[in-house]
Amino acid sequence: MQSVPDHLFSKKQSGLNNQKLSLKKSRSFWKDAFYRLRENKLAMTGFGIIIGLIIMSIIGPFIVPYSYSEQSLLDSNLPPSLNHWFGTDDLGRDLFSRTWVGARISLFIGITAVVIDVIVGVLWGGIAAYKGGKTDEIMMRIVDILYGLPHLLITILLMVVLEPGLLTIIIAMAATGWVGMARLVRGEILRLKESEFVLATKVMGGGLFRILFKQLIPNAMGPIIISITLSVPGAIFAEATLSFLGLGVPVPLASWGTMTSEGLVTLLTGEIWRLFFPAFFISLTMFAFNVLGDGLRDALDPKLKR
Amino acid sequence: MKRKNSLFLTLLLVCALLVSACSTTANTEPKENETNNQKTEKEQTLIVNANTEPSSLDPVLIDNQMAGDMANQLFEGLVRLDKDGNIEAGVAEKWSMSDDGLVYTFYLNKNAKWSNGDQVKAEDFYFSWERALRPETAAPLGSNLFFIKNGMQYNSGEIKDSAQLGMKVIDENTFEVTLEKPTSFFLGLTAFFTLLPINKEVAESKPDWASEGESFVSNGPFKIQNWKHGQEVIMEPNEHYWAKDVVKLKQLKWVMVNEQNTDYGMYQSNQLNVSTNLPNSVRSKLIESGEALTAPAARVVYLRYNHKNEILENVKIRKALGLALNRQLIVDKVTQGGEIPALAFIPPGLGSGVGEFRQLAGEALYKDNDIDTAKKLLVEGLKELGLSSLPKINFLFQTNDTYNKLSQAMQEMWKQNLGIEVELQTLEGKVFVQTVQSGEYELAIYGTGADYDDASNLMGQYVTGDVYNYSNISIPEYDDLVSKADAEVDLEERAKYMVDAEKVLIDEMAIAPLYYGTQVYLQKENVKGIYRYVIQAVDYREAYVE
Amino acid sequence: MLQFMFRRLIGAVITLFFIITLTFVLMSAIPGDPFTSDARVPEQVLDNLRDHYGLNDPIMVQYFKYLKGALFLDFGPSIKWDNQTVNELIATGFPVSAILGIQALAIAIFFGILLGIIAAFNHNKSFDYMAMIIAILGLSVPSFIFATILINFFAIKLQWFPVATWGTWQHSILPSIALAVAPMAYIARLTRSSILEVLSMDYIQTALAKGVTGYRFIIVHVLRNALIPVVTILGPITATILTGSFVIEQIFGIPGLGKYFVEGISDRDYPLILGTSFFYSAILVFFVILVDIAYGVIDPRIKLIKGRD
Repeated sequence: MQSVPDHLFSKKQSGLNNQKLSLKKSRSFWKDAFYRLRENKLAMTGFGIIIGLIIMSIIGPFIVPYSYSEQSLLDSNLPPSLNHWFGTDDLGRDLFSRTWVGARISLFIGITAVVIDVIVGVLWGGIAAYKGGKTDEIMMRIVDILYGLPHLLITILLMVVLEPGLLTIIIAMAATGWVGMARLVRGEILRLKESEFVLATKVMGGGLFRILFKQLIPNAMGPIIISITLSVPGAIFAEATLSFLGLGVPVPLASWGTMTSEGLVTLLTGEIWRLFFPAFFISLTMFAFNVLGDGLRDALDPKLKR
Repeated sequence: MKRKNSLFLTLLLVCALLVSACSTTANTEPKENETNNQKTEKEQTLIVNANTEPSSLDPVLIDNQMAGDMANQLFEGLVRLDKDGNIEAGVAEKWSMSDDGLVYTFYLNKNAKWSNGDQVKAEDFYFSWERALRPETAAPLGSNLFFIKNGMQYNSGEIKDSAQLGMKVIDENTFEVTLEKPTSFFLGLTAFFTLLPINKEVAESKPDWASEGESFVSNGPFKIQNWKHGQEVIMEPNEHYWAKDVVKLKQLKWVMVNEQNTDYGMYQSNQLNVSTNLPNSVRSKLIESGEALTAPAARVVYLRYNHKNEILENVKIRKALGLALNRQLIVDKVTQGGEIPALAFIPPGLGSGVGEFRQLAGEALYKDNDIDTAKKLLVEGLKELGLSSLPKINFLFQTNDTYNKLSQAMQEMWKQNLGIEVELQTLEGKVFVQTVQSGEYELAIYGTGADYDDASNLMGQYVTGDVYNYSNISIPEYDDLVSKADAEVDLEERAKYMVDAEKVLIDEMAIAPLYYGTQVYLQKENVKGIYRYVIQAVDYREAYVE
Repeated sequence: MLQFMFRRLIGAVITLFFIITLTFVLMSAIPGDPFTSDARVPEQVLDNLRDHYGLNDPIMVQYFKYLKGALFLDFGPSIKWDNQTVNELIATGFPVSAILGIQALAIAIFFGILLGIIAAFNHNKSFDYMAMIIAILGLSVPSFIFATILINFFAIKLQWFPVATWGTWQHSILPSIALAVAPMAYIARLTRSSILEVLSMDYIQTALAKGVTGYRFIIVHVLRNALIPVVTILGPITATILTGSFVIEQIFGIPGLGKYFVEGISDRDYPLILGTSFFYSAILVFFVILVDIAYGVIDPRIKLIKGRD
């Protein structure tokens, strides 16, 4: 990796070359991106952490002989030890097991939310910006309406109308979560669609989806990816906040969100491990997604290509 | 230069609009001198937590204990409770009861004054009580006045003429009350917040007198000095109060912080002198170290069965579920607030008319953690139902920290002790209440507390057809005993009926009591003279800081 | 410009209409009403109460009553706090949320953009990493944990600030910081990535090739373009912060709008819910328009009046 000013002076022509490349040889563009990503050690570390967390969320609960819900009230609030690697909680449940079950739930919520965000948000914002005019007007009004709705009300309602649970949380988040992405993408595309290279393609008769996917979206990838990397932990957070308000995943199920909100009081009582482990893994997830996001951005941005 | 400006212009625009949008309304300038004031008056200032803005401080309209506590400092009823919970003179300096126990005559203290200097008159009581019973007032706890003759009928609209109510203003200082039937606890009830007086003249000339601190008129030890809605209520001594000499505080300040962790933090850093809203896991530690104190509370938390459910209709299944719980472990490790395992229904401390109810009825009506019996009963119950195993039962509870833990612990106990699976479902406050009230549940955690010091207060709710019988309980024998107790004039006999009724209730395991509540509180060592009562009320009249 | 403003205004009114209608539908669908309670209230009394507050009216009547309220900006008395009107509650709650929000926003924007700039112009150097670690930490700790840590350290241990409640400026410092951290980190990340992208654009490279350098260049060419995505999110962030993060208000016991809104929901105080959510939505819509205008100011290439392409 080189620092920005260097490359600015040495790669004046790269932008132009790139457009041609991305038009004609998009397959090798993604291949190149992958190579670039592989060379980025920090990004690969992040990627490794994410893979590690996913693997642990699958096998973690089976490593120890305790299930996530099995209580032993007489062994409550034990500090980390050889028996209980992460200690136990106030009902004497093994926190190692709970942490990885929590990882399962939290990552599931995070990834599902992002998938929905990206698919709906990018398409919505992209089409709105590209089409412009009345279409844009109507589509963005819908976004505004969803943005303006009091989310808490929707969530409580959904928790009641549907059974309170994982699916309800995801639905509640997905119902409004994508609009931020849509707004961001629209902003980016509005900026890009006046560029010469897009106009050129248009003149040459490129269709909506061709221009959108081959030119506009790849070029808007930077902010989109940053936003993606933030929506995973963002969703994990949103669930944590719901937990804080007593609307998290139903007990005895654990998520990092419910675990942190239950562990909050240990800042006062001293069984800090109950807060530390879930909070640590939320931060680690955050970190991993962020450095991976950075790496991806650098790798995907055609103009940063060597 | 031009373009550079446009960036700043944008940011400026955003900020400027922000500011202008707010500045029109943002004239509640914080007071700089407040902290100084606090310091100089620290000696006799008490800061306590009201958790939230009270729904109302008009005694008749209050629906919860916290607001009731606030009203009890501002107002004074006919009688008041001394530090041991015994009845002493309030506005009434003396009173007499007719031989049949039906007619009470209260002689009001001529020195009893409202905070605006008016004398407290018998009419004020009449006005306030009649208003509480009037249907249009919709007083949430108006049923506490149903002991007055025709009170219930007046409230339901059956009787429209207020003259038929058992209340009479004999003269300015004499108030006569006729009861429906002899009610041993009525005198004590006149200290309850719903029965506090209201200044008739003020209320009639300014109907919204109770909404703001400036117009608020009260007759108790304190009056409102300043009421910042949603933020704080500052009370100061009422200089017209007849016993103003016993009031030592210069200021009683109620803040509104509804977060337990914050409440405790404020206490630690001396921004609260008393804390009654401690986080669950902090409580056990503080009780152990002796820092937190406990006082009994006339409250019981229990498991509701829906008797309409075909499985829970079976008494053996109900008993199996009820007996397989280790209540001692629950109070030691789960609720951790010094609660007492409930092996009967009526909480200790509550009266019966002839002494404490529990002393008459005995401490334990069944054995705690009786797994062997539970297992046996489960097998028998299943046989009676013709089932090979118990289907998954739904277990409902209201979302809060304590019930969250409690329900999970109970789920695990049933699983470990009986091999039974229950499915937990947590619901937001009102959704929970609504769901239970509509009978769409199987098991639910519920708490019930007494408003006044008599066991009968808690017994009516399980009578067949009672509006509060959300469990659809129907035990003819119980109904019979409760109605006999209700009608009985002889207090000894009445208490006996109530004791028997409780036995029937528990024998049938119509509900499964879990634990008796406690009031857990922190109080700075130099704070003295705060009295706490078993009905969970509190009195700050004689409080002081050493 | 004027025509654009007018069109947006019409759009905003339509948006608001849909929002308040949807809010009403959702609210009516939630089980329980203001008088659902455990207290021993006879059915007759409940009926009196529901009559009094018009809850026994047909749903359409209630809806039109509410629309009328929204039109004249008068939502009537609160049900829970029956001695106060919703307008009064908003008038006391909003300034508190606004003071808190403006402080938080100022912190978030200033430090966020600063961190982002430092990071971007030191791309892949230690400053970059440091700035981004700060940002990641800021985003990694849920605000309720961060707030509790702030209270524990600065209020309980050091006793520099009051733990909670509202009143003096000291009361507002900790909640402002707690409220600012997440948006600050978000702004920092977005600024950084955006600057990096702009730096790689053709026209910037051309400018650089022509030998344009210095702060003027950074501000005129780089920041102006780089801040577009930042401005995009500023609208929603501002509105969210401003109308009060209810979690922060809850933890610090601050009598802001967010607290009223949440309490309104749990009490089913219909006029309060409708009033606060209308207010909230109006602010949100206002900021969305503001962002669109800001776009045009920052980037003249985007036409305000979008003609046919």
